[in-house]
Amino acid sequence: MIAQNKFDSMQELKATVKPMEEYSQRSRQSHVQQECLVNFFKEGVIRHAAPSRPDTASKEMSYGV
Amino acid sequence: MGYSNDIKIFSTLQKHAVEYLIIGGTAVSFYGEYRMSRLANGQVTQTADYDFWYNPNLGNYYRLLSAVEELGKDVTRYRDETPDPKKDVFKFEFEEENYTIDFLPHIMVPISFREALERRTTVERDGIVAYFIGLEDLINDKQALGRQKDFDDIENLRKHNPNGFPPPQP
Repeated sequence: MIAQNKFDSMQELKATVKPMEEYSQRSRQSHVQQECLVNFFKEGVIRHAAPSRPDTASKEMSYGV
Repeated sequence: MGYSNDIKIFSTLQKHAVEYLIIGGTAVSFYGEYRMSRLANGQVTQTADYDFWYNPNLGNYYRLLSAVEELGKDVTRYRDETPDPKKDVFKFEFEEENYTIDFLPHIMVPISFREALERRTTVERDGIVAYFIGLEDLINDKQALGRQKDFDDIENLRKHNPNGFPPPQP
């Protein structure tokens, strides 16, 4: 069976998320990895609203309300 | 294991010049205290998930697919069908790497990707560049989502950034 990767809405997508199994070492490891990654970026060089490359976003094609 | 698998997501998005902003729990943890990925009801998710808001235009849509392909997923079917980048939401589970990635074409608060991009926070470390949604846009989105876990996130964000991010210069 091919996994479904594409959904019509965020709600549909989020309905597929599974809760953590109690005492699952692998689940906990996944969150530990994420925390390590966040800490990696927290110690990086932070720039605020200063593009690091030409802004290639297309105004015409951007989603917006 | 550390974060070596997870960092590959960012280096690959960078390589393919995908325009994105990190949103959700990863962004909350970046600006505030780390919190595990959670379901709407507050339960911790089985695997950590990374939520990305992608610039929903056709060029970026296909760059995103190329990046996901390089990360190891077969995206042929999405290349072959008619895309709707303003609507298409993606979720990819990476079992071996032990994480999930969601790509969303919009967020709840009604701002354009371009507006949010202009207010982003860019972080660079060891040659890896990552783009986070700006703090105020993140808080506004959390307010628009309006679930208990979002209010908890707002509290976390306000507590760690009482003067905004970046704080005003004296």
